Amino acid sequence: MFLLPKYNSFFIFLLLASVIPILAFSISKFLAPNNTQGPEKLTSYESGIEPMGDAWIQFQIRYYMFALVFVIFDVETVFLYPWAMSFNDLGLSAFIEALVFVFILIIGLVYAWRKGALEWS
Amino acid sequence: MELELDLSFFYKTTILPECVLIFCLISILILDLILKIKDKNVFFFISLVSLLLSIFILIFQLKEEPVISFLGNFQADNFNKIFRIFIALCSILCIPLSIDFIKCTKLAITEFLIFLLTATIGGMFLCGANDLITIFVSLECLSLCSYLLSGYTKKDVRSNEAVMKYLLIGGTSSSILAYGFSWLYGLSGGEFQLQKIADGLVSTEMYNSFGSLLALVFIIVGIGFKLSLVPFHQWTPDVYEGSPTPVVAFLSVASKIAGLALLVRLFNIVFPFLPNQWHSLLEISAICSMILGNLVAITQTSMKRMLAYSSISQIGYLMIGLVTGNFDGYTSMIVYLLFYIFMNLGTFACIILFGLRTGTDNIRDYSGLILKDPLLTFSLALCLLSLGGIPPLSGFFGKLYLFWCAWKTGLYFLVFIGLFTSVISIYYYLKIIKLLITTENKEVTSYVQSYTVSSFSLLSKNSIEVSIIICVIASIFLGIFMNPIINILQINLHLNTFTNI
Repeated sequence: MFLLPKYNSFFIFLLLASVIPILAFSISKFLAPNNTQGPEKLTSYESGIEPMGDAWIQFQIRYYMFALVFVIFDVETVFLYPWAMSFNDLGLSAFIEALVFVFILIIGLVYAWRKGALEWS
Repeated sequence: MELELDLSFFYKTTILPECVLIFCLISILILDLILKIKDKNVFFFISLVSLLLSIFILIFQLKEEPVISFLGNFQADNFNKIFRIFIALCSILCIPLSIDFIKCTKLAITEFLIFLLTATIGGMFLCGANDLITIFVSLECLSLCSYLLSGYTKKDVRSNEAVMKYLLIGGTSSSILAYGFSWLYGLSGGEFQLQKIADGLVSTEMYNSFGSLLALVFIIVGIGFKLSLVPFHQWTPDVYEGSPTPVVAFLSVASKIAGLALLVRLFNIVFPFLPNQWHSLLEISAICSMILGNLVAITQTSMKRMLAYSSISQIGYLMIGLVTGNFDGYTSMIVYLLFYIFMNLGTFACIILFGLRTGTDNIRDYSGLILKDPLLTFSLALCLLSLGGIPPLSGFFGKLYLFWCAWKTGLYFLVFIGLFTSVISIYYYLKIIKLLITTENKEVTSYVQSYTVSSFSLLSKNSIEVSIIICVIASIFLGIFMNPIINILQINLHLNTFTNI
């Protein structure tokens, strides 16, 4: 049952995709001059600038709240576009359903607003 | 452009009970936002009324023929209507438990109710879900709300630990379940409705292959985590210990009801060709649950951990009915489930009351409680005895019917293990009762000494006591009325599609 002849191109693709990173690393290992390790080589290097501080810093939690509120409307758009495109076929019942959907999302926004999720302070 | 009102918008009111709950949920949210109501009891009242209303609607719908609505996404037959009634019943019993708890711990009331109602709606949709996507979405609706509820006491470190464990384990189990579903989708040739998957498995001649067995195993593992069957039970004691007690009471019952309904429907509809395989897999996990749950419960010192292991063993007993697999087996499972709701919620209600008044969950702190509050001691003892299965109480009749049905179909080993582990469970339940009523050495702990009984009058009971009284009365007397219950269930289940195998 696992023969699946249609998937041959996929397996070739998978093989190629796994060979490429191995090749990239091994080529650089063969071609790179095998110099002794200097102090410069051990320093961390980020786009030409010496890194300052730790990478694990605390983010303001508000970013997260705004992202959540954004997701509500992002998803709303995703669902409303297909409905708007086929509005003529779906008729009134779909219109009412979309209204209910938007209504629930608006309640979500008002809830976030009243509870102070949109205040940056 | 034609705009005509399609009557199928109302979908013959198959999901009317859920719609009532959703409407109640939204109205609670709006009322909380618009009005600055100081007395939050209004919200409890609204949610209790809407839950009662949805139960009544479901009971009236029991007469209707099974229908499949929403283009095959949702099926309403009597089997899942009974399970939906049970879930709503759990919520009705759990909301009074949480009122005083939330007031004492000064948490937000509205959000708690919203999470609880959303979990109820998720569970009710899960009982009737008829395709893989609806199953997954409603399962996530149930479990996401459970995570939020179990982390509801944000300042409590143990609650945070519990919710992290629950979230990680729950996410893992959901992904395993989704992987099992993807196998089913592929093997059936791209179908995702349950009945069409079964037909698709036949037409692609994959119904007896290794792939469908793999899908079966993955689905059992995924649902087993939710039900806390034994190889997948490790999260249960930790989550039960850390979470707020009313939440534990809800989770220990509602998620089990929803999971059992899903298990029965999924396996009977999708895997009718592999009955021996899934019966034997579930039988093994039932035996493990009964043995391990009951043996480990003996050694526990915390009441909530003890009840966690006790609930693991109870799901083992419920599995006996599922493994039996015939009409009587399912009836006995549903009857025992009904009794289990009352016994378990009664026990948890007593623990919540004791915990609120003393602030402890340790078993040894309960010693000598009878001197302070005989009523609470009496109810806790009765609920525990009913869980253990002592003859005049309803737990005994439930277990008797369950074991008798299994014995008739020849599951002698399973029944033997069930009887043996029931005896073990009676030992540790009796140990607690002995501790409760021991007065000979006058050794009353400081916790029990600090225990204050608020009122002795019969009228001004608080809501937890009301819940305790309902549960205790039900777990004493329901067993006596078992024949009418079985008759009602059998009449209703006869109309069903898959239970008359």
